[in-house]
Amino acid sequence: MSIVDWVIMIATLLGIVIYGVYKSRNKDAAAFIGADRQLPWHVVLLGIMATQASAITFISGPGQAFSDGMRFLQYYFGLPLAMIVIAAVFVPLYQRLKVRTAYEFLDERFDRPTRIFTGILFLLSRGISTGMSLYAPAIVLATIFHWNIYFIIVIITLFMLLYTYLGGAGAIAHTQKLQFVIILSAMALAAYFIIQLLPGDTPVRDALHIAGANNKLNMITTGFDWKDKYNIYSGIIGGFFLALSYFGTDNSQVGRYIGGKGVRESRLGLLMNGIVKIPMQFLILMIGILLFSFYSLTTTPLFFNEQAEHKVAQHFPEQYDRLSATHRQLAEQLKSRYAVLKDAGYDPGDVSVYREIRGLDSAQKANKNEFKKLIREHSSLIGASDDDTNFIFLHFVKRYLPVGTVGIIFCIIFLASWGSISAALHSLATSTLLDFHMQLKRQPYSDEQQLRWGRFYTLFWGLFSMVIAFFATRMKSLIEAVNELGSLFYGPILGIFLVAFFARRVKGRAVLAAGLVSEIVVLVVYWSDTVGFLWLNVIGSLCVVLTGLLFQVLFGKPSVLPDIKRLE
Amino acid sequence: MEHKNTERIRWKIWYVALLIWLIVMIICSFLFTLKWNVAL
Repeated sequence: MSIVDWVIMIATLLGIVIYGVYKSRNKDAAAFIGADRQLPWHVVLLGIMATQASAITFISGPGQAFSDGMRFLQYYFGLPLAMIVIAAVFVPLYQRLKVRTAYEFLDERFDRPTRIFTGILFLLSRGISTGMSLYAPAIVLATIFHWNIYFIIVIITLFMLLYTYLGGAGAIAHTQKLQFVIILSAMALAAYFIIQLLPGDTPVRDALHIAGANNKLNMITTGFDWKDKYNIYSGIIGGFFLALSYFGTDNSQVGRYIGGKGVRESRLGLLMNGIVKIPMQFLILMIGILLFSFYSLTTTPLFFNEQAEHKVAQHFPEQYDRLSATHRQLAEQLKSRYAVLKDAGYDPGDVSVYREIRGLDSAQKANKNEFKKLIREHSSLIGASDDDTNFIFLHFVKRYLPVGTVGIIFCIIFLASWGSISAALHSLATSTLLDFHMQLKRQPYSDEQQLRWGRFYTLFWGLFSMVIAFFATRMKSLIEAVNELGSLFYGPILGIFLVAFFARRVKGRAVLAAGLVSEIVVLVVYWSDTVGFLWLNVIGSLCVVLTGLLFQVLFGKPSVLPDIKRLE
Repeated sequence: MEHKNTERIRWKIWYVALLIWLIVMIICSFLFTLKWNVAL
């Protein structure tokens, strides 16, 4: 990276930190925990989006489309539906009761043990996944720049902790706003350069034809398979339950929109998120599609993690030369087929050219799999994962983008990490303080004590995430690893909230037992590896609702008091 | 009371609009797949 890129990157990052610290002045505990419920809808919206979009989203998103096509988009189809339910049902209750964490609501509706049980599930899943969100960009930066991974993890955490520790919710909301605008602008810039750099003035239309010939533009896949991760059914149903759980019950998201100035601002923020999420994800995936066509028309590297490729070449020169030669040969053959397609105006009359392209593509994949096998078999020697999805976009950025833009793109990794991790740490800290620590105290804390403890827990969870990131082992695709971990806990948590909102006669003991049983069911189903991870959310939440109702009928005492009415 | 009802209707319009938006997105995705993706 050039000096100019370094200057741009460091100046932008420092600017954000200073802005965050500046916004942290004169804060009391209420502002630290809940931003005083003063945020307008557009700040709520950007907060929600920046919290969800971690560095993984921007690193892996294009790589996911490059490797697996556009079908990942279906994962977001359930999200707008979830936004409607949350805006209509969850928000009014959260705002009316003025809860400061999502789990405080469960205390009002059920009892203390249910609040604590759900809080534990949240702290467990969010604590670990925050560590993984920290590890994911760090490993990529460490590999690309040959930096020490521990150093990167410490740098990312410390600078972000500076403003999160001082300013809490308010500082997070204001920095997220800036961060997200910079991130989106930088991604748009990257897309512009990919289009400009397509060889031989290839129009976007032709680039789409090439991607389509390789089955990459499969935005809707209708074949049903329980184990298939992304199809229209798992996207709408599983995606709905996942989004409902994540946005409706995960304190890192609830904390963003309960900071809105009343029901109207919180609702608008959520509904706008439902409108912009699918188009935004489409554009991120489209960057991957354009990259696929770019590399198809130039030279696709055998492996996008260059450091790992060099090590394989160094330790296994014979195998590497053979695999590399085969890869180049197949790439040339593919290029000649694309030329045939182009000459025929992408309407070749029969499907024989497409069949040839698919055949060559499969041969290239098989060749690459052999390379990956080498990495797997000698993992301790090579010291890298056999998955290069997360390196695809950054390989292009580092190799092909002009001076100045490289710095701003690498900036995204830090900014996106800070945006999502700061919100996660803050939500973990407020939950620990309000759902656990303060419940053990007989006398209420003063404002100053709450602020001090809130900051202490922010620091604690920051250090915890760092430790998790240090211990994180190699994973498959990072984007899926984080999503899968969430799905182990999200189902039962959502189920408990659904019972709270809709099954009015079910009481605390029944729902707590149902939550425990359902968590065990989800873990068993996960280990049996019978369904794709998105379905775990559906299974977990429905299991709580059904067993909760059953337990209430079998063991519960009849009640004349419909709890939800009392709350309303 | 009247104000409350107007508010309620306004939000319902929002929900229906978002639902329609989702359906449009899914239809567009489907048409995009049909036009650009080559299924063999």
